[in-house]
Amino acid sequence: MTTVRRLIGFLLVALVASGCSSSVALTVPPVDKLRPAGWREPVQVGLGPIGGDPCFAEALKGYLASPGGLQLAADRTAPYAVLTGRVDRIEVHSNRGDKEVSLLYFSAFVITAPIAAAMYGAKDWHADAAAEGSLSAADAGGRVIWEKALTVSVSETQRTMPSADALNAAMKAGACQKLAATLLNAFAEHMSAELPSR
Amino acid sequence: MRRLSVLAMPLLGILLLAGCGAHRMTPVDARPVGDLKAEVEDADGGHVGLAPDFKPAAYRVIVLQPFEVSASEIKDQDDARLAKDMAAYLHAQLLRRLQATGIFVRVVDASISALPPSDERAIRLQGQISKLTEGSQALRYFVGFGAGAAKAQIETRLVDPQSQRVVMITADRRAAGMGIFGGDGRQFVTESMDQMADGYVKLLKHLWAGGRPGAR
Repeated sequence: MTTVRRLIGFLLVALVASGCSSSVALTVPPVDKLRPAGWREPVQVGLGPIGGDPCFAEALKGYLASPGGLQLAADRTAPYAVLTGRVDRIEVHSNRGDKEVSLLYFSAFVITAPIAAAMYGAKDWHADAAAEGSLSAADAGGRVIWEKALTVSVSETQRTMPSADALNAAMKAGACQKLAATLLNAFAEHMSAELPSR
Repeated sequence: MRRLSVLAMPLLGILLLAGCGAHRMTPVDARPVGDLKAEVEDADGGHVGLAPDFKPAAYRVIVLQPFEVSASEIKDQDDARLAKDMAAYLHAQLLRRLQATGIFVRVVDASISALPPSDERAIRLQGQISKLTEGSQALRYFVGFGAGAAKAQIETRLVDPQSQRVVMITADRRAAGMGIFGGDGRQFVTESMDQMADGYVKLLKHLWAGGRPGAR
């Protein structure tokens, strides 16, 4: 029996230390692109300097590349507006590390190894990521016609035991996507209100 | 005896985990709005005050405005960051649950757009996070008995945009003072926000189905 418990403890430690999963698939769906019903054709916009973490610029480009609504202007097309912005902060918090430390702690003693086993199977990790950033739009003359600053949050709860890097990468990408899509949707809403039947 | 301990240990582990987390408390200093006071204790939504002539089913659109955090809860840069993060977190949780609940034909996210003109009657959900602290993990671990507890309180208002009259207010509060090695304060706060968002949307579902606030 002691051998079995030792084996359980050893397996748990090995499992936790190795980090089971090298990627995390978020269950929260990405923010959908807004395609105002009144628009007869997509609106071309240009991208100016985008500061902060590169994931924000990537997320903006990804949004503009999908069909309908706001589109990235082709090289020779005069854009309706040029967008500039930056992401000031992306923070990921999770209790994945706490779960890992607790498992290692309880696995260290034969008598508490079953607690570690129960915890591995019963305790979810929870993560939330916040992204704070801004976007502004300027017309052909360089006049700012719209601007918005926003903080968004994404959260995830799962039972798997991913590596810390995988969790951080997935949460950061999710927060960047949400910030970019929410800001661009807000700009599309603004344009739709200003020019309802483009 | 050995077999008993083998069985008891996982149970103890599950019990340990179940005992952790946020639990409901009576709201503190919940502010009345006009004649409305959050006095009726609801099973899901905390304490509720309802205008006598409020007819929930008449509203088919809800506009969710971003929550603000009381200035008294922000003392330094860390508090300011937590306030922004938790306001955004609560907004996301409420939005997701309101969209999923199916009682409104449209849920408008006011952080993206203003209320567009529509034939449907809309109601506006506003609110404030009036208490927000991650507490102290060291105090929770070494002292316990509520010391260093993470706390969060939200106060909400449902406003009829046409008359600008507040038709319902709620106040809900959570505290968490126990976790493995004192537990993580941010996790406690996000868990509190999850619970309060869930309870609030359940309350709306109950009211829109013709129920009244109170025990279920």
